[in-house]
This record gives sequence, structure tokens and C-alpha cells, in this order.
Amino acid sequence: MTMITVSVNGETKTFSKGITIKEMLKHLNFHDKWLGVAVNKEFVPKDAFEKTALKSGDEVDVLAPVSGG
Amino acid sequence: MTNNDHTKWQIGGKQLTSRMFIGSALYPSPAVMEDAISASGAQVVTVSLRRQGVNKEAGEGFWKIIRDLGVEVLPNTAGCHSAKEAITIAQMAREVFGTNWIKLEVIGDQYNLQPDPYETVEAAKVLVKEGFEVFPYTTDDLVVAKKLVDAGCNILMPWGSPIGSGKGLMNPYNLKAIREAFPHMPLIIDAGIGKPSHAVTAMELGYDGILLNSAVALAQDPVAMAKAFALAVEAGRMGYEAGAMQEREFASPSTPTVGTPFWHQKM
Repeated sequence: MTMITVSVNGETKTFSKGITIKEMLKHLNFHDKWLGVAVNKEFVPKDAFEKTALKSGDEVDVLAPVSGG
Repeated sequence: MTNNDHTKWQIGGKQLTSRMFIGSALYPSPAVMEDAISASGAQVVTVSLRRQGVNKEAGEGFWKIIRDLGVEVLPNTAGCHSAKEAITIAQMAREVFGTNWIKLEVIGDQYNLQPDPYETVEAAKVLVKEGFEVFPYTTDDLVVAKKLVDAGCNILMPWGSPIGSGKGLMNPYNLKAIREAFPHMPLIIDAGIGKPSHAVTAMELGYDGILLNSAVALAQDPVAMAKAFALAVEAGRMGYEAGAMQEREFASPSTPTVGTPFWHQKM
């Protein structure tokens, strides 16, 4: 099976080729109710998680609510 | 705090009674944060987005406390240094927090965290077109304020002084100029407020509200300080609405001079 390497929140992760954002989040135990995702600094809306496949070298940011001023 | 009809005001399409916006960062504990926000009477709380640790459940802890407070959340784009970054964070925040409000913050200098006016205006143009209600964190520069309004902003948030400095209102002249240039626009003093007296001054200048965080979170007793600020904001606003007397260069006795008794007759 072909594998791809993706950066998730700065950590290098290896996945099967064709993995979608939804599958990646589940695989890494993210609970997607309160989080936002950007791939290569571009916002990816939640309704696109299921159909968006990650590519090798993608940089994924998974952000969640924190305190702020 | 009074909640009568005369205290109602509108900003970003929402009706509020409190004129104090408060941040959710830097408190000694989540419990103190919760109590301080409640004590402040603030109906708008700023929040942010950061990388979620892998294998940790999102939505726990902090965010649950904020949700349970039943306040309006104002997500920020803190930490962004370009229009592009701020736009992406705003888009993510809109989805995560379910609001089109965004505190647009694009930093241009790490030393004083001064907003970058060029990138802020650029981001504001895009975000307004995308349907955001942009609350732009800006300096007290009148021309930048005008550019933000030209970009479609309906609200301005000039700083009093650099974020977290607690120095108060460094340039009341500039802040007055912005108030006079935009008499009907909601204006919030954002950043730099350190003491309740600063809040009173901001409100006496005719500003519609203040946004603060460090002044409460870093106080020795954050909950008591939150209450002090609530009273200061209310007093300042009431004083502004009541209309201050004209300053005079010379003293003028307040006690009637007619009927002054004998000991003044030889003077």
C-alpha cells in the first residue's frame, strides 16, 4: 500500500494514500465538533472533510478553541 | 449593573446592555476566569484558535465554560502577521464558533504588538466581502481608521496603548479625533487599559465601550477588579451622557457669595 507523509500540527504523520481529512481526524482521535482545519494555510470547511484527500507533503493545521484577548 | 432600556445599545447587529468586552486569557485558573467574566457583566468575550493537541478531545474545559456563560464570543486572529493568515483564521473561526464576528488583529511589530495597518486594511476588505462583521484592532491613527471604514468596517477598535502594557490612553487627542470623525460608528478602545480610571476616561471620551483582558486577569484579585471595571465603565458612560461642565481657567466659588458673613468684608 502506498503511504504518504503529512504534517499535522507540525508533527510528521504517515497515512495510506487517498486518506481524507475526515479519516485522518478519526485516525488521530480528534473530535471534530469544535475544530477547524486548514490545509497548506487554506481553510477547509467541515462539509469538505469527507471528500478532501490529503496529498504527500500537505501541511495540516487542526485548530480548537482556546482563551484569547 | 443596571439593565434598564436606556442602557441598551447595538453593535455588530446585536443588542447589548454592558459596554465592557472582556478577554478570556491569562487568568490564574479557569474558575477565576469564569467568576471574573461573570463579575464584569460583560456580554462579549474574546476567544482564539490554536493547534489542538493530537489525541485530546476538543471542546472540553475552557470552551465549555465559555459556552455555558451564554455570552457572545468574539474570536480573534491574534498571532497573525499577514492578511492571508488572518483571513484563513477568520474563516476557521466563523465555522468553529458559529459567528461572523471577528476581531481582526494583524501584528506588524513584535516589540509593541502594534497592528500592521496595511495588512489589516487588506484583510478587512476581503473579510467584509465574505460577510464578516469585522472588529478591527487598530492604532489611534485617524487615516488608518478612515481606510478601515472605506474597506467596509462598521466598527473600529483603536488601541489605548500596546496590548498588555496597562499604560492607559496614551494619546487622548487622537482618540478624540477618531470619535469626532465617526460620531455614529461603534468605537471600542481595545488594548492598553490597566486601571478602572482608564476605562472611565475612555467612556468619557464618548467611546461606546472598552475591551480589556490583562487588567482584570493579572490583577491581584481578578474578580474584584472585574467588578471595579464594570462600575467604571458604567460611571464613565453615564458621565458622558450627562455632559460634563466646561473647564475654566480660573476658580469660581461654588458657595453663594451673597450674604457672605463679616470676616470677608474687609478683604
